[in-house]
Amino acid sequence: MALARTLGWVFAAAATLVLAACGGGGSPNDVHPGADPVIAQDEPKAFLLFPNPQVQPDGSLETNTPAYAQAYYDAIDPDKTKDTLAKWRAANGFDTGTGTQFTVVFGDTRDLGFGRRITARQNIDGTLAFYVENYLIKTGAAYGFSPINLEAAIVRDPNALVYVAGIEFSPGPAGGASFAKFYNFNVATGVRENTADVDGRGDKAMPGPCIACHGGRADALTPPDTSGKRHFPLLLNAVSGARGDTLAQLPPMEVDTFQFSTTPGFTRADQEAALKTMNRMILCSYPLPAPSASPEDACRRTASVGEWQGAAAALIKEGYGGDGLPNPAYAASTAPPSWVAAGQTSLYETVVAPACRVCHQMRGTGRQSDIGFATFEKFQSYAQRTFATVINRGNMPLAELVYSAFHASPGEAVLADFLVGQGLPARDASGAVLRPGRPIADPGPDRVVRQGDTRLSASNSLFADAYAWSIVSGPNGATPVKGATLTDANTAQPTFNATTDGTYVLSLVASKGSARSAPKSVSLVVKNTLTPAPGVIRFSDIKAALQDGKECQGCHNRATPLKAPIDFTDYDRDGDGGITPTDDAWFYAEIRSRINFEEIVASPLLQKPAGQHHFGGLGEGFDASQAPGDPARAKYDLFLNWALNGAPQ
Amino acid sequence: MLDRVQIDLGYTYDDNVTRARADDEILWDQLFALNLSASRALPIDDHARFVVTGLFSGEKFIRYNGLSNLSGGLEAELQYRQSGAFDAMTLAAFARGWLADYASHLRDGSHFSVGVGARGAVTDRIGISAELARNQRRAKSEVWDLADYSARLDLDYSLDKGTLYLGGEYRRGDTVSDGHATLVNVSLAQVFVLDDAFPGKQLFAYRSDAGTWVSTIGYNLPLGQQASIDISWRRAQSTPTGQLGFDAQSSLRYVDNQYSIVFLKRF
Repeated sequence: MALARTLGWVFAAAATLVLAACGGGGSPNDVHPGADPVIAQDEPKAFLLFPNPQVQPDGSLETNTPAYAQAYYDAIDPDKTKDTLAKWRAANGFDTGTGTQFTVVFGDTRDLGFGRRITARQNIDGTLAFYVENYLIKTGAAYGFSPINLEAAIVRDPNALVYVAGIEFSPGPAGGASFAKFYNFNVATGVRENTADVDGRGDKAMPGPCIACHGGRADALTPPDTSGKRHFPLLLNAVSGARGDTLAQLPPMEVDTFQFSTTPGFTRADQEAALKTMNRMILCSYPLPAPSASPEDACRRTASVGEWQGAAAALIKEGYGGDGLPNPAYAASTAPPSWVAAGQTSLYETVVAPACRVCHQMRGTGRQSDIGFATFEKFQSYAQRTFATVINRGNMPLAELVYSAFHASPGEAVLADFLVGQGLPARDASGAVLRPGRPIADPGPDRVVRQGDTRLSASNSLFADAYAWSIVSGPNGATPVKGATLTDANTAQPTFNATTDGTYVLSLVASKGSARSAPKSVSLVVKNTLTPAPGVIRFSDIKAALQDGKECQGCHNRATPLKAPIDFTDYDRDGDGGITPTDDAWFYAEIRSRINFEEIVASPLLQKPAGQHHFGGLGEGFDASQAPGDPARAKYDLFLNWALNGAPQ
Repeated sequence: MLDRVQIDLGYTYDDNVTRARADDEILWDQLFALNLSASRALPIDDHARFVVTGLFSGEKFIRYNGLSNLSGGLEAELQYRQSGAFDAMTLAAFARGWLADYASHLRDGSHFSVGVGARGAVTDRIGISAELARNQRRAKSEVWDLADYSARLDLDYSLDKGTLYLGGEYRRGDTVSDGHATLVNVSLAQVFVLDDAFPGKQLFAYRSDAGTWVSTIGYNLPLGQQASIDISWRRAQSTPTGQLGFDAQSSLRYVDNQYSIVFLKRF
């Protein structure tokens, strides 16, 4: 009994002590290495995805599927001769003692935050290959660069190696002009992988996270061919003529944005010559739009008018003192003269150079290069899209690190002032710069419809999960509205029904929790004589408009020297020897891929013929400045209603 | 009511209060410590007793006040001795816990240990004791949420005047070091936090798994029946158990030396 009592005492004392064992729970400043960054619920997540990721009827983003990556690899490596890192390195001549090969190690402070170890080589035949090891110490905090990422790259810490990229500039499987190709390899096994997580925001399908910023396009895959296989899109303005040539390029090494170690062998001074050689190699991959006597341009092939004109060459040349590249060390270039002349030096230096240029300079063609932002006027022509992507959607700047740095920089206010000057509400009533993440209502574009039911959609709204629709006015501004009803008005897809022709104005307020958007109105022009009715428009109607012998096929035809990326004529698209219904299905896929279902008004299929950044200017029947139903925008209305209906085949 | 009350007042020079590896991370300090303990023995039978001890201590660091702390707690020990024979061993099982309040609030929290021990006389001059324990600590920052096992062996050798003692202890489990945000430190760390005990130093405290040897040599000089002076050298050497995936180019272990002089008074 005595022992039992004693043990009772012991356990009671122990229990008291355990209960007294307080503390714990963790400090908010505790950091757990290896943890992925915490992503705020309303934070934009579309980094390194194309603005048009090819939304499919089931809601999936085709450019972000393993099938897309597999089709890409099948296109650039059909025989699987480069499906492991070892095979890829061997195929590109690494460590053979031939050509030129060297390694540089630096911290990528601006774009992706990695410590990067790049082994570059130029083969005797002029082909290039870059083997990029990317090191990141995950700390669970905000994603970003840390000097220890650079340390990890120097010592090649396998635990910090997050992904390995192989980039080559070489001919396609069938030969021809060289083009850039992108591979991702498993860090442990070396096996080629379909996805890469390059910003802590999860895996994304190749080659999307690479080519999104390297000037590439992301058109839809083809439908299945006779063997059931889907193919990577063929861009007709690609000089290579190869599927898998996404028109992506190799960006310049902007050495001033790198961080270097003080460890001997890895200082900037120790690596400056190698970095210059690398930039020379990259310059060789750029097409040359006009003859040049500069020796560094001798390796460049002549540019085709339909492709990118090598605009980034200017950055490399200015970085090393101009033609001839006389300076041994890279120095950041100043604002281009056109920007200075326009009085927009600050806009260039605080916005374009740090947040836009790295990707946009890789874009544009000889026919239409506004998107390259080479001049202030070109940047200005994209003000509306800049407002939509930077202020509203948050999918620009395209990479998380650049995005965060931009919104923490003076550039955010400079851009807001520019946009306000363009008539775009980039600041709220108190003058604060608006940021992505707030609910934004999008009831869809103004349109012409028939009497009867019209399904509306708020699906292009942003950062919202609740909706409130209302009819504001009827024909001639009449209120209360007669002859029209709205059912399911508090859903994302209400039904509008009008029994009388005229223009009806509806309003949508989107909200999430207690946050509400500003009301956004949409005009529905009810016209019962509209033909065809929106609900029955099919691809055949669109094709007929594209092939009506008026304008589109003047350029969008392989037979012309204009080199448009898509041909609107019927031809043997699948290469089976004849023009069959399969070719029509492929044509349909090409046209559908020009619709951005996440933001329908931004679809190239609508914007281009409406004269926005289109070499062909404004097409007949596409004058979107007119009211819906106006004959001057009859084709625009046709295309718009088709797209709003899901672009059925 | 109380069987024993003891007060210790000591001074310690610690050459590595950051428990750091690299020269530019190692900081030294001096501290004064006051310990109070009061015990009450509750006999159970002829062979066993239960001893409850109240503990209170305070440490005041001179250079890095964030390390200064007050703590208080309880220890409960069940002791068993087979007989009153000279060479009979005393076996014990204990549990102790205490709360600590630091000037660096990241460290605030509780400690808890349970274990078993044995002590006895080998000869009329040599005493020996051993202890196995499981130790846990919880704190505001997870860096100081620690758990380890320890095994300790102490030898006392009575001299004509005073006692020479040697101690050896091995701890396996969590340990905390301070260092800069270097690749090596971050790679070893399970969790880290900017340490508020060393303002302006940009030192991060980090927890890692390690094996730690602690050795002590000391001399206790009696000052009459109830008081003594104790001088000691305690050396800790801790080596992380985790493997880095790269050559760290330097040793990963830290070494800490503490030189103490303590006045003890028993009532």
